[in-house]
Amino acid sequence: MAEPTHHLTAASLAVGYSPSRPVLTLDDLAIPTGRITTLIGSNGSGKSTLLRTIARALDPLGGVVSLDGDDIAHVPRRQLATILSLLPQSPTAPEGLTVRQLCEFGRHPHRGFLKRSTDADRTAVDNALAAAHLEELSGQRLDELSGGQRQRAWIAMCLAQQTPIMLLDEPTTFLDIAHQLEVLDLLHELNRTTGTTIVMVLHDLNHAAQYSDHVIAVADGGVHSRGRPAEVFTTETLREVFDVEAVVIPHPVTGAPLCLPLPRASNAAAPNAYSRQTGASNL
Amino acid sequence: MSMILKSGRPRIPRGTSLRGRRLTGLIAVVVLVIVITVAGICVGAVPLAPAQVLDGLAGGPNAFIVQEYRLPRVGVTLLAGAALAVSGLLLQAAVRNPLASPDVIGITKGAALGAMSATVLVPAAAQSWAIPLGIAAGASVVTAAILVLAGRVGSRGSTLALVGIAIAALAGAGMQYLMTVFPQKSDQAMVWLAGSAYGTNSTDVALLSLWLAACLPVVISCTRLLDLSAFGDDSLSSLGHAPTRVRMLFVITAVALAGGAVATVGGIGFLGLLAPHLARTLFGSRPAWLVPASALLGAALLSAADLAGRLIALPNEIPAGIVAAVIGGPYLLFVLIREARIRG
Repeated sequence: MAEPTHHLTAASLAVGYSPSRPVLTLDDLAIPTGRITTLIGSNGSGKSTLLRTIARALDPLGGVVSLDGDDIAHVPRRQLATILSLLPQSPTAPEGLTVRQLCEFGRHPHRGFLKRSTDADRTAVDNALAAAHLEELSGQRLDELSGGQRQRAWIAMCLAQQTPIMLLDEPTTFLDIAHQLEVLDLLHELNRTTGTTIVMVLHDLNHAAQYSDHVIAVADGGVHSRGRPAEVFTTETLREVFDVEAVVIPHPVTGAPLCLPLPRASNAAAPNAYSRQTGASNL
Repeated sequence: MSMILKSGRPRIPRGTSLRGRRLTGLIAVVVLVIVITVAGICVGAVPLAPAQVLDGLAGGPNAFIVQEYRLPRVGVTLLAGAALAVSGLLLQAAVRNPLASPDVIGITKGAALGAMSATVLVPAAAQSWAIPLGIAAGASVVTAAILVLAGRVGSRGSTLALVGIAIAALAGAGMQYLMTVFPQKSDQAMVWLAGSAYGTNSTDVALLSLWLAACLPVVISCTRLLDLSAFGDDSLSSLGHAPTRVRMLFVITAVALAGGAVATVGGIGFLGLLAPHLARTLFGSRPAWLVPASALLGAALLSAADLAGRLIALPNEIPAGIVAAVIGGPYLLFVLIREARIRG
């Protein structure tokens, strides 16, 4: 895909739902083009709100999100939808759709008013279904699928949209470990083969560390730290962002940072110290 | 009808036969509309044979009954029924609630309040223009209020429905106030409250046809957006549409359709709820089928209700709106009970 590269940035951004109480403010944000960026942070830290604001699903309370230097609020919505797609956290679809019909909706922004689908549309849908390994399920109805299959169907819809930027809010929730990895591998492959810019929210820190080029940690209403996984995943960051004590070691096979949280009461290392301490303080 | 009783979703096998069966169903509904139309022209205080009707159409001895009385009446109920059904369908999509309809959300009541105000406050000579004006004003004020208030409290579907219910209650109170203050006009007011096709003439048919024809292009745009609007707001915006604007388009179109219907037949309730629900049960939820099926079923239902109202208490008439409520109320309860049972 010879897509032109697009740059997503933001300046003096305030995001949230009530103007008097922004959930998150940040001075500047630059999403690395052609890379995988992951937003991490505790529940309610505003990472989803930030993602929705970047996707123009939510208007910023202050500041601007820019696409190639232009305020996205001024980019025509349909045009924006050919550049940027968003997979929300718990998406809802029209009743009774099949997997293929869902994917066909991804072609909507590319089609003119009352235009029928073209060969290019059909190819895009076929490719999206193939990439998400859904060819055999394409005639199946969405409500008959398992959680993992349904999530792949939604991702396939975003793939069919063929946007150079994809935003995904917790694409691995409700999936078992094998399906989580399947989804992440799919996104990684997409990024490496087509140069698609991916921004996602993930809860699993080790997945974030393994699959991201760039990590943004949000806490206390702002960006705590950002950078390569090895720069962000440190004992201090984990303590300050998530309020957990953890050791960070390199993954024995991949070398990515591996976060190993310690049980709450056992800041002292020895197992018998752990049992003694909890016994003393809690009982 | 047994198919409706069994399940909320059409139990039609997947594949090529689906389209064929839906097409057959749609043809059956068209035939039903034609049968009701013919019956509506033949049946009444003076029964006419189909041959006499044809003769009347050509200017024969029954020309007055056929052309000035029966034909306009059937025409108006068909058009108003279709308009109310599509209006209900669009409102249901806008507020994401299958129980929304122009009467539930306050549009019918607002329009009827406007019409009633015109009836009691404006001298009889000026009423021919004051009543449509009153309807437009009433419907617009209610819609503006719903949209502004919904903007304040958030434009999510359920809040829009609740705001509409509150406004419907206010408009209802306004109508009852007018009835108490002007008891001598309450007979006319009752027609706006209940809805009736009594006394409609060929001008009504012409005006309503023109109005609905003017609405048609917007209805087609809405049909195209109907599928998309069932996506969540974030997906809808990801696919290139502003959710609030889509909802606004649906609401305004629904008001235009319902307003036209109210202007000719008064405040008919339940139809906007009944027809789309029946259409969804029979034809599924793809808009290309749903919109025409709802319109046809709405036309058939209102026309049949009017016909029944003319027959049940001969030589007196029961307003079509009351017949619709008598059929619609139990149907709604039946739907609610069945859905409760399906969900266990």
